[in-house]
Amino acid sequence: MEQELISKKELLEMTGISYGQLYRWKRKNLIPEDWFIRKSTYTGQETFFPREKILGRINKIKSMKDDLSLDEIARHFMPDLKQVTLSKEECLKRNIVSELVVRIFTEQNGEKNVFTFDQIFQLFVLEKALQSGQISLEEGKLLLKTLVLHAGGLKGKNGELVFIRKMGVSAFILAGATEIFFDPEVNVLLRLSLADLLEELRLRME
Amino acid sequence: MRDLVISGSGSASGGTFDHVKISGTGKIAGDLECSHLKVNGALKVDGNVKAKKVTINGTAEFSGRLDSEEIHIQGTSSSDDLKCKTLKISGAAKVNGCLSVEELKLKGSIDVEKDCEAEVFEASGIFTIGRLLNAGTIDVKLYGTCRAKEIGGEKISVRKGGSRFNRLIKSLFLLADDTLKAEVIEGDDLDLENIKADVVRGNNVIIGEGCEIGLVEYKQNYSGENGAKVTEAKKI
Repeated sequence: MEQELISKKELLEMTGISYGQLYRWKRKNLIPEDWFIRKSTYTGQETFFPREKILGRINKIKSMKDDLSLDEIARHFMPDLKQVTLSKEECLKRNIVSELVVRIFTEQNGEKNVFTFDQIFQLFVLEKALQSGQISLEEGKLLLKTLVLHAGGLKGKNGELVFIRKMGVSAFILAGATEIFFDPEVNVLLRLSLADLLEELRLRME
Repeated sequence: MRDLVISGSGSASGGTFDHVKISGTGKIAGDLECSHLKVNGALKVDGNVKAKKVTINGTAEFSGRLDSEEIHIQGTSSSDDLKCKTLKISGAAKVNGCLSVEELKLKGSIDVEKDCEAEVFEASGIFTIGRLLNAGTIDVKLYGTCRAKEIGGEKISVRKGGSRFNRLIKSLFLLADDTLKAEVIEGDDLDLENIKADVVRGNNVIIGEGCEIGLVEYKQNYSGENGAKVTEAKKI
């Protein structure tokens, strides 16, 4: 998950906003907490941001802030998707999930015609994992079980799904925003950022 | 709706109430939701509390979150995340998580383990913030040693508290350590006294008496008093 970073100083210079504005926007949840990356440099602690994401976000806020209140802008970035539900047909039609994935879900959780947002997200992650070609159908079933069990605990964090295999035995790991190190014999077959997938899903659902 | 009154010593399971009044020792096991929680003795809650108004005159211990519009702590309180509109503390409060308020008026002491967010942060007491103090307006009168890992905001003003006479008395007894310590302070308009910080960054920066600062970076104006120790100040 290497990405280009921008320092706070450089960011303020490029965008012309002040420290006060940046802190206010953070307070109003316009900028997610985990974009603030603290690093030690020779001048002491400095804060960095993922370059493209933060520049895009600040330009958007700047263009909207004359017409909308900060709270309204915050809702725009974080729409309340918890309330959203979609019918099974709708999910299939919009190509969010495939029939196969829905079938796995039905096997495990019984027949459902309407999915909640959390469920759609779990299905979407499974769909992506299967599409990657790295996991088998059986492993996909295991993945869905893992997601149902633990995805709630990762809410709001920069979670990551890691799929590993060692000596033919496979395992899924759902990790919070931390670095993971493996022993050399471990094959990392798949790494998916849940935050990225969530954003992708949001776009598709709009 | 029912009231919950504990006079003497008693325990209750949680639930939804109108008024909850504890005059003695009380224990509530479970989440509590009410319009007014008033503690005159000691209360221990094993759960989260949501109330329109909370008044604590004795001691209160919440294992979970505290969420209210108006909280007044004149005794002592400890809780996990605390969220409210106006928070007045003339006693002592401990927050074992994040504190998020619109307006904080501090005359006693507060200890926040993680972040503290406020639109208005007015302190003439003692505070310790484990991570970031982020507030629109920060107005501090120092009466002791205050700490925050990082401070950020629009207007930040830190001054020595008390009259000259009081300060003289204090200095005679070697109690003059009224400072605010932070690693980084960033804001638009900074007016600082008795600060110990590694880095101070802002648009308009005034560094007053008793400051010890490693690096000052400013955009527009900078002025430093004679009594201030600033290793380096540079215009960005």
